[in-house]
Amino acid sequence: MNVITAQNITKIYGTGESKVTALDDVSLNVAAGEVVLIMGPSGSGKTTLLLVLGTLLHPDSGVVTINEQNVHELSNRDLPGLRLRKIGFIFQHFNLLSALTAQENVMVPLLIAGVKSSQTKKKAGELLKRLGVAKRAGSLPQNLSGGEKQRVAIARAMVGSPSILLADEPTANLDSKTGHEVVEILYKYAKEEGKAVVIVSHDQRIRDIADRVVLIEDGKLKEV
Amino acid sequence: MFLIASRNLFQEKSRLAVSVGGVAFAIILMVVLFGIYNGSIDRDVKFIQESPADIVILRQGMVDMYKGVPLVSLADIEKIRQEPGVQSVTPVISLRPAVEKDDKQYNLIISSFDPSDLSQGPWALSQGTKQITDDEILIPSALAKKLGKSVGDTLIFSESTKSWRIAGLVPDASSFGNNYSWITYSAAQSFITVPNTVSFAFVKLTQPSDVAHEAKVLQAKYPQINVRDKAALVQEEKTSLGDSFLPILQAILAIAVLIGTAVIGITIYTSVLDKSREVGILKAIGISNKQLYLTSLTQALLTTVLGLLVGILLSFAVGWFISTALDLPVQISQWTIAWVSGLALVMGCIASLIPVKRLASIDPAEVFKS
Ligand SMILES: Nc1ncnc2c1ncn2[C@@H]1O[C@H](COP(=O)(O)OP(=O)(O)O)[C@@H](O)[C@H]1O
Ligand SMILES: [Mg+2]
Repeated sequence: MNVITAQNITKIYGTGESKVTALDDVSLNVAAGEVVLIMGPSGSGKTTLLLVLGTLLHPDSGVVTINEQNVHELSNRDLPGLRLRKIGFIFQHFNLLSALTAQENVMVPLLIAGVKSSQTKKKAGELLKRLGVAKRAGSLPQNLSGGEKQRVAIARAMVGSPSILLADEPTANLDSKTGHEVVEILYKYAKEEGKAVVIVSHDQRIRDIADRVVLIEDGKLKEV
Repeated sequence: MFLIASRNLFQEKSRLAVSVGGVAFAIILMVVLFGIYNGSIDRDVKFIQESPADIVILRQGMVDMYKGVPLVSLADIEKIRQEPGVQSVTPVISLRPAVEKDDKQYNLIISSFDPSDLSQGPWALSQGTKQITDDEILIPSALAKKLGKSVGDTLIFSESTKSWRIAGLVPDASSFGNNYSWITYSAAQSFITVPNTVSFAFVKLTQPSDVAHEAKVLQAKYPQINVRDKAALVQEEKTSLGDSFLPILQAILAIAVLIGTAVIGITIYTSVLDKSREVGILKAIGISNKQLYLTSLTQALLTTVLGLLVGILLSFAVGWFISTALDLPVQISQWTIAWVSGLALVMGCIASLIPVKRLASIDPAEVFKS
């Protein structure tokens, strides 16, 4: 069953002279338990596709569905709630909240969802333990290494058990060993919990574990 | 949301200090000014308030006890003394001389009293004795300080040669340039211009429970004099004084509220600007605009409460300093604290609205750019 589908997505930035067709009639389906790798040169439209899949960007045409819900039928008011429940984002630059400790960062999605504070704390602690960063639970992001930051960020993306993880170059700022560990975590999430995982990356190791690899060039997508 | 709000707030210590300081400043301004206002009014009416009376008898048509030609006939006073329900009547002669020092003039409001009756005369003495002779005077301690005099020194009124020995000092007896002072009734009699009259009289009732009614009964019977319920007189004086000062205070109040709101608003706004990216992250995760606004509100209210605590504490310190160093009466009431706190919270709520548009306009897609 497809968790997320994108049909005939076109996204054009700007108008006139400066017009850029970032996505040109792109279609992509991702099933539960599937890891899809999106590759392509810089500026080819990978991030734009991820933003459209993640409901953070409206395409000019085409339809995105998440768990069979057409997201364009939802109002702007409902989209944050959909993202909160269904989608976890992982970024190249980790994007942790600087004032919060590692554990508090992981608690954030649950707190936003209105889960009780004691429960969120417990759940975040467990997840950090599972990802091997339990010792850093009380540290601020500025005191964490890149690998630790990304694990915390992944824990934050996973804590609400979203059906989709969207990762934009998650290993680009990590050394090869920690990069490998991060890939491992994402793979397990897809396989053990039956979630859809979409990764944008140039990382060869991800190619090895991905169920499918798609290539974007100049906004056009093709399966490899 | 509270977690995010409080962590963000305490992350930027210097910004927090500025905003808490701004709020505290506004609070101090309001609390101390109204403390002075209340203290001044209370002190101004202290003479009537503390007088041994339920009812005050004035000359007809006289609004202020100390202005105009004071004339209440002793004959009337004697008749009132015989009225049922009246326990005692104390005639008082009031004089308004001045004393000078270094070309500066200080106005006295002298009232007579009977030193053998301990219930009469000043409400308290910080020094000296109430048991004075006809050559002695009780003056405000603040005036004594200004004149450089103390108990035992003598005083001569302007355009006069009689010298008065200062027998005691009265606390809180100076107000708005008026210095409430006391001499004996017999000494004051030599100043009477119209024979068999006094300035006013204090009436005590046997049943002080129904003063207003008794005042009405007496007034009906003696239309030639002005019979006033003391409590009403105090209230009237407070109101008339309050009315003349209130507009100025309200203007300063408005400025303080503006300062407080602006400081909270600006610091919250800059905090939102600084944290645009983090706001974007929260939006990507799925925070709603309403929740974001609640975070901003929490942050504003936390700042306000901190500023309020600091401000109130410092207000007492500043109030104490003003009352000792500047000799201004400062009275910080629970009421003032209550409404200033309420106003501060309103300030915080308004300030939290300032970054709302900005918060709503932050695009979470920006977070994906490096
Ligand atoms: N907000 C934007 N406004 C205008 N052009 C944009 C914007 N975001 C991306 N682009 C352009 O769209 C194209 C695809 O960008 P992007 O999806 O970020 O590529 P990738 O992630 O593959 O490097 C690029 O040419 C980029 O310059
Ligand atoms: Mg990109």
